[in-house]
Amino acid sequence: MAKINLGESDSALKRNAAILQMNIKRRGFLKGIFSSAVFALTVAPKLASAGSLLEDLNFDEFLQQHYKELSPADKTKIFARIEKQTKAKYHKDVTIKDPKALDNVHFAFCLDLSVCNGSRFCVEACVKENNQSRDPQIQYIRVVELDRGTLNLEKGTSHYTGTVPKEGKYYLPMQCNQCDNPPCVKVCPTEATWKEKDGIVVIDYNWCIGCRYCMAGCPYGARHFNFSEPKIPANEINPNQGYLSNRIRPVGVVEKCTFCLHRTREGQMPACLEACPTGARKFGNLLDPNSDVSKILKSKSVFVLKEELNTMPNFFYYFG
Amino acid sequence: MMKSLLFIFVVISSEASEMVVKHMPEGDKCVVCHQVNTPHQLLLRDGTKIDSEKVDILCGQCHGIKHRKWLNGMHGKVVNSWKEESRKRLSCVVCHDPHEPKFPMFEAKAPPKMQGH
Repeated sequence: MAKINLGESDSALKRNAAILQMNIKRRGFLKGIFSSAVFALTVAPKLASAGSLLEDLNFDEFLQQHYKELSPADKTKIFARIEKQTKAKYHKDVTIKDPKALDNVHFAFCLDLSVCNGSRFCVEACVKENNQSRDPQIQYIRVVELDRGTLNLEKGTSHYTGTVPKEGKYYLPMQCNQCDNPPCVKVCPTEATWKEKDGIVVIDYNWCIGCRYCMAGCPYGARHFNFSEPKIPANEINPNQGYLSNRIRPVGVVEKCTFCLHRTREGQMPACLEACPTGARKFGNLLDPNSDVSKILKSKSVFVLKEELNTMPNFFYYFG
Repeated sequence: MMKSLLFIFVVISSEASEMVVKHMPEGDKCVVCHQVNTPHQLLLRDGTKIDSEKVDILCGQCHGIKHRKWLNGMHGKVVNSWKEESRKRLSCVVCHDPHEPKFPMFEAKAPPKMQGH
């Protein structure tokens, strides 16, 4: 009995060694497993559970490569798939685009704190433009109400209501600073987030594993996690979507402000700026000496948040 | 902007005497900017007629520092594009009513939900 057992384990060892010697690529290996799973499910009797499982699991999606490794043909296929999925899930026709990072452009924001009145028009426009979940609520911009003469963000509140601006207060909107030395990018274990050459930190939502290290790494609280499937009313979905920016996020991934790259890389202004009733927000190209942001940086005293952390933000505040 | 200028014209021609102008302290303030008998015509202080499109020059006579900031993109709203060739600076009167230039108060949009509270 013992001899037979030994023989069995011996052959199992040999088999394992043979497998180990094979040069298995993880993706290929998974592909094999899952294609057989597909086969089993399709030939299996049409069970209701198997049907819904197939709908939920998309193997192309599961096996998709990192954004940087995708060929134009891959992208066309992937964008078509996402458009189809969005149609099925939200009953809305959308277009997925992928505008490339521009050459000789480094985007930056300047915000005039003496003008901002805390009306939160930017927040509302941002939520609509970027297809953020309404429930649970995700908002990229947080407007902090602070006492005049202070700059202690911990003492501020973002839950103020009523008529603004209030006596003795000023308002400081915070969002992703698109840091030149981004801690969120450094901590990502899967390289699902990176800095593009035009200064925008982006996320490949299909490569994000939802570990939320980046949220812990970001000192500005700019990153937000989709704890559940985003809920957006179909009539409020923005159909002009970018793959790396405002396409509707899947559950379990992190998202953040991208300076509306699907708009700004095509020359438009970000949605928050266009919605601002006061003109407090300035946006432009830092590498162009004639841009508004360059002139502001040259002639005004600007400051960034948490400068001591050496994150090198591209979001500057000043008092006009 | 045309709309606001039309508004100015209508108001001045019909109810000029009843109008409360909360701009500048005392005196014959209407004629600081408007021509006496044809009030839709704006005048600079030196008597030069000025087109409604160039109203920022008129405002800049008194608000020189703000005007310089506006010209350099530090004050005022810029729309259309961030590119130099296609950006559009909104004129002074888009945001400030010339007869009551103080920027109005706003009702803040809904605050973020208190999650987990």
